[in-house]
Amino acid sequence: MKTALNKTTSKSSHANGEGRSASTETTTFVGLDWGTNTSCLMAAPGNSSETTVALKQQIPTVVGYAADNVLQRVLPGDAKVLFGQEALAHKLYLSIVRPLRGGVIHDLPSARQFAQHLRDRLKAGDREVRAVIGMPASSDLAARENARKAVQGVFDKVIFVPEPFLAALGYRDDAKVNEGKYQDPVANSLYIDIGAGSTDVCLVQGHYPTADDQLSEPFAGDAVDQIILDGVLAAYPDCGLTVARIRDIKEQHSYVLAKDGATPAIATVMVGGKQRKLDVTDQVGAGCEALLQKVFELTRDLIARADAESVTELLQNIIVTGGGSLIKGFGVALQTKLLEEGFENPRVRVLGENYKDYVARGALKAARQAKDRHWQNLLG
Amino acid sequence: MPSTAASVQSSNPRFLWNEIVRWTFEVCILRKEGREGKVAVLLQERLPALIRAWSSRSGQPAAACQQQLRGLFGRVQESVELGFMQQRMIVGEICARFADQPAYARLPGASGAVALRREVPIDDVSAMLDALGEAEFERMGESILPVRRATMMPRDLFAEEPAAAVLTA
Repeated sequence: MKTALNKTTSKSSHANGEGRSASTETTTFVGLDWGTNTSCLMAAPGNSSETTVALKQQIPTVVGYAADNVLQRVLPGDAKVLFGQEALAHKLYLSIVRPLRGGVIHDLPSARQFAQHLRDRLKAGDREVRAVIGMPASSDLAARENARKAVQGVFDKVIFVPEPFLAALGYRDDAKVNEGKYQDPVANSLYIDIGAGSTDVCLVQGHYPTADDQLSEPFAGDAVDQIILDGVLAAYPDCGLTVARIRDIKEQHSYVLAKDGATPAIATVMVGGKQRKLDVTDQVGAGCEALLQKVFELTRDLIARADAESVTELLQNIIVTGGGSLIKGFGVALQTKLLEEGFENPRVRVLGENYKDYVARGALKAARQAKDRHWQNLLG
Repeated sequence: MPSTAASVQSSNPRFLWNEIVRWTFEVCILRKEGREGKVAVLLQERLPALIRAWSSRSGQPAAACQQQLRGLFGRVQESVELGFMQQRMIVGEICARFADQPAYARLPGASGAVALRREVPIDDVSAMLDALGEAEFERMGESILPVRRATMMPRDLFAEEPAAAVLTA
């Protein structure tokens, strides 16, 4: 997508710590959901209207390094490094590295290159680029410092914000907040964010969740992949499946409801040059069921912490986001479990395929509202 | 610490200027820590009184006073910003160095999420960012504390790995 982020159209500036942001005419704001598997990048010129999104892209978070012996003209532009979809399309000739694991930076050199690739996509030229970047709610100082190192010299200023905050901000439709019928998703809701490395459950009751309003478990997509892989290797020891391949299978066949399990999950693998079809339905089901159980327990425990007066309404606004929300039937299954536990009339909503947009959109909103004092300078 | 009233009664412009420098640093540091409540008090009460007193006693024209103040604010902001970057890097390096040591990891406060410690209304993104900054700053203090404790702890408290081993690793 071609953008006009390097053009300036109006003048405004607030140079002090109270000002919204210095020299907005020469600034590009970025909202980034830097995900383990997929990243969502949104950007807008600093002087654009509140609703303008000049660029919106989803990019697989992968970096591919070309082997030394790759023939000429096999890779686009004979590139030594490819990113995202392009890297996946040529993975046969590349060594694929995933810079993030469990939602945090795992491989700093590739993370830096990926961040630079994101910056290049902005076509921001010499404009100052200020990025609000989502972090898992459970991320600690070390994870933040690693993320800073990864974007140092790439973005000019950054702010790290927990992803559930950004999802809540992004999911809220500001234009409709004053409409009577609009059910404000941040008034009294429970957000469940199922990422790759952790599952975070937060109460959002008109205010941003404090430490007491959230629960986090290091059990999420990656753990599901491992359960499935262990199960598959136990059943088919010589199948040679890897975690990456298991992830693909999970993304196509994940389910938690018995009726969805009736459609078999068949994985096609090559063993000794011959194609073999493996039925991995039970293993995929077992992994997804384990996640459902963990999410149910966290949800139940957090509801117990909420003010008794708020619970009836809270149960109507359980919102599931993150990659785990894409498991077929997850919302219905969680709702059923809560009902069976004795919660009255729970309603679980799943944000679905667009869940990444909400975090990035919320990040862009935060970037626009941040004041100069909030931005962290990075050494170039 | 002299009160605002005591400070502004001084007729020594040098003393008043030093007080302005000192409180400007304080404002910038508090702001970086996300403590906007305290910043507001200083900006509305202490600093204006000091600036008025200094301006009237400095013997300089108003324009020169303003220029001197602007220069001060710019230099202090830069200095505090640099100081915070250095602090972040030092804390990051220390934590990274000790994070792999089992004895350190077991100490309370050594790890944990950066989470808000007070309620902030959803509409107030700016206050949320202040509170996050404050939480990160406090978290830094907590994460460095175990290292400081480890340096002070008697060796025998570390049954498996003496403190000295952690600190020299």
